[in-house]
Amino acid sequence: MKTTIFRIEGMNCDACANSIKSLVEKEPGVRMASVSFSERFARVLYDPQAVGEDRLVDVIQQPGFRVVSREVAGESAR
Amino acid sequence: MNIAMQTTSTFTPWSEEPSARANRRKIRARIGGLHCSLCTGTIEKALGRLPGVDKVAVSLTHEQALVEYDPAVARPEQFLQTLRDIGYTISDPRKLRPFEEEERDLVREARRFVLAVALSVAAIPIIADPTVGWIGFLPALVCLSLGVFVFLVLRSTGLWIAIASAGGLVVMSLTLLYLNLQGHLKDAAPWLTGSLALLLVFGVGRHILHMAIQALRRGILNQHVLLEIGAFAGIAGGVIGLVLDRPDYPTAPFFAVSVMVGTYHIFSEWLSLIVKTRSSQAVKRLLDLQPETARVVRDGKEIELPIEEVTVGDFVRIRPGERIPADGTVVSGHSGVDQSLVTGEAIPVEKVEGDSVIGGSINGTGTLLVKIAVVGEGSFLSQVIRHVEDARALKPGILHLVDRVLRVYTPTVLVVAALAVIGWLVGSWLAGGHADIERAVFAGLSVLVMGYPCAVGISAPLSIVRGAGQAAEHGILMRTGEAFQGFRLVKQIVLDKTGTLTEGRPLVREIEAIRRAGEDELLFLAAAAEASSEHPLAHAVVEAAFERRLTPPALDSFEALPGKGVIARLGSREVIVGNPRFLADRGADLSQLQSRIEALEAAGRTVIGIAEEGRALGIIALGDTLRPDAVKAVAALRNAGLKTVLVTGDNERAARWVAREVGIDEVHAGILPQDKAAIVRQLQANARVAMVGDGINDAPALMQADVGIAMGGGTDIAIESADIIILSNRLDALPVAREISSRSYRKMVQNVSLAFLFNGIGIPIAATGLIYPIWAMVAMAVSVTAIFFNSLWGTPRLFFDAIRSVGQPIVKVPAAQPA
Repeated sequence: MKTTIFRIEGMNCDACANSIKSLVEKEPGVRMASVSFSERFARVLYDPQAVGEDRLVDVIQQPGFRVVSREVAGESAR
Repeated sequence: MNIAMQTTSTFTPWSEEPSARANRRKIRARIGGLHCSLCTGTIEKALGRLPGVDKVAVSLTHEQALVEYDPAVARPEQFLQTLRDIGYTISDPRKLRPFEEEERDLVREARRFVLAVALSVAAIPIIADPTVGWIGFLPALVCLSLGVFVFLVLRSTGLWIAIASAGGLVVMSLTLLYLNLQGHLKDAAPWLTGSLALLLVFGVGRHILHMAIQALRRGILNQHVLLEIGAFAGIAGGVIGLVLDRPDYPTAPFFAVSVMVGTYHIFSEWLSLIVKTRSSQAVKRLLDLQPETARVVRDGKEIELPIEEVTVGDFVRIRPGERIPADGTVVSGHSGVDQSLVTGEAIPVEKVEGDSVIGGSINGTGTLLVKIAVVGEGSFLSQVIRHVEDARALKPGILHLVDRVLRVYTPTVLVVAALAVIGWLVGSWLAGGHADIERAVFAGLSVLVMGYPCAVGISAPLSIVRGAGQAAEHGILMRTGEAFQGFRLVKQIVLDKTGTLTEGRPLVREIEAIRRAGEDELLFLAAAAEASSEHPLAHAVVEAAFERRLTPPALDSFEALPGKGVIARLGSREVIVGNPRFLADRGADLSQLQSRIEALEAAGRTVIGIAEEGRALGIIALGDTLRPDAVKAVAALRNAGLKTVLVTGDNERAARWVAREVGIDEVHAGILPQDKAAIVRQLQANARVAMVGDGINDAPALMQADVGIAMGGGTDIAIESADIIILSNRLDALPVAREISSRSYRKMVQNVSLAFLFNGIGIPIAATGLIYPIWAMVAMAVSVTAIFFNSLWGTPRLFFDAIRSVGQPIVKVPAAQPA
């Protein structure tokens, strides 16, 4: 499993953060997501074999938000 | 998933609009979940990117989206699915109809008021008599304020219409005033005002006449009857004046008084309607407006049907996070189901093939296929609804302060009028030898005209506007004004546990490793094992790991044993997570922690153990957590002298633990919904009771209580059964609500007293038959002004916002921000 932090621009209120969280968690392979409007990031725990980082970026950007950076926050080998 | 999704042709939560271009179609859909104006941009972008979509327009105030698209490329179902995916909801147009009808009613009543004002503004200059002195111009002040009202009311229709109308009225009244002062209206005045009065009573105010007649038929003397008495008295006085045709008889003023009392009454009715409609709309906004559908498997295909079309025996597929639509039995699948809203149990219950599920509970992380057993009558939800209706019938009623006063006041006015007539007849006969019928009738009519307490009709809705506004600023929604004011009388408060005093979902509370330094490792392994699990507690465990920034590894294999736990393989290691009994069966020895396990379970926790390669590593205890403000809020309520009671459907141990933490002495656990209402009824024998709850199982008790208080995030049926709704979901709003309730009631009593003060002085003076009706108008104007000042001092904006909002759909009531 991998945890990646995506920095996001374009969120306007908590509701935007919630909609990103819903979208991301629905993606198969994603176990959990936490999105903060005030700190402008999303932290996602996912199975890299099931879903790739690029795909997650697409999912976040689909409603019009912009991912400006990503950093891996945790990674577990088998 | 490869099962084809079809929607039946009858079920389309959107409406077709005519499109300008031949090969394009346009649809309009109602959207819910729009929070800010910038959300519209999000939706426009998301839909705009779909292939085949030409134009998207989203309106925040009307909460709808218009999409123009090429039907050869795109389908409306795709748009709706996209909207759902990004977290917005589609509203069922049938559920929205009441909103629109209510708004239309408000606009119609507003127009009626404007007409009435026009008549008043015409009548007043006609009768203005500068010889009476400056007092005669007081009604002119009222005229001016009415003009301002008209502007505010019509503002929503259009700025220019508003200016034109207000301007037109000013021009008309000034013209009439000029004509009057020049003496041109001397003869025409009585006829003009007479027609205005008739127009008002039988035309613009016709509906009030209906209501008054209906009330009279039932022997009730309410405000409408009182108004018609005053209005007819004014008309009678005017008619008598026309017949007698004497220069010093105030014919025109009598008619004008009828017009004015009618106008005030129409205003107070409209204000009451605004208050009622706004609070009803605000409540409706909280309800789930989505169309209720279920995914039914028929003939091997899955179709989305409206919930009314689901029948007994249907197989319904329920995905993770979805609400279970009806009572049934699990045919296949495995998931933890959150029953907290239905039974009060905080910990989700594991469901596998053969287990029964209740409609209204929420599915966890697995997928279930359920065979529907009961639909409609007989289902758990419909039973609760029946209990709510039973409670409504048994609920003690609240009599409005004004109605109570009117019960005494109205007969008094009639008696005084009669006495005035008799007094004059007898007195003049004794004094002068013949009965002065004319003076007697004049006195009687003067009393009746003065008797209409126009300020009283306005004082109630005004104080509710103020109270509702103040409450809204604290994130409190008042559903019924009377109940809100009655909250101050409550001496006992019943609180639900799960979701009200607590957060309502399980969280990891304690982690105890056998090896001291092993907490994080314990959580790491547990989360790894649970990561793919549909175990009810899996989410909480994974979340706890996530919060601690741990990234658990993926598993090689995984086996779930419902009711016991999971067996996972991580590389060469076997990890077991499950209840302590299961671990013991597999040979992992937790005896070191036995006393801790017992202590935690006694405190209402659910304990799971973790073992690696047969060796016990430790335990994790999960439980519901108290809301952060629960302790302070309960303490504040007790300080205010309220007796606190905890009633829950959950088990005794969990209940007692919460009660201890929060400071509540009386505890009832394992209680069914109808029995919650029964407990409230028992308590009502001693003193008034308030009930605070959020779940389906709280609804009957919320209805039964003198004041039902629902948490804003609660179920629809709880919100609809409650009198007060706490939008902010914070318990510390409770003492605040009580405080506002007291202040609001005090204000209303002040208003009503002020109102009756003026009438109280005016009526005996009118009984002497020595004053002219114009004094009645002065008294009315002064009392109404006084009440407006008293109610709105410091908060005039609330009132103006209320008036201006008519004609526009209500903008979201913002939840108070947590401090």
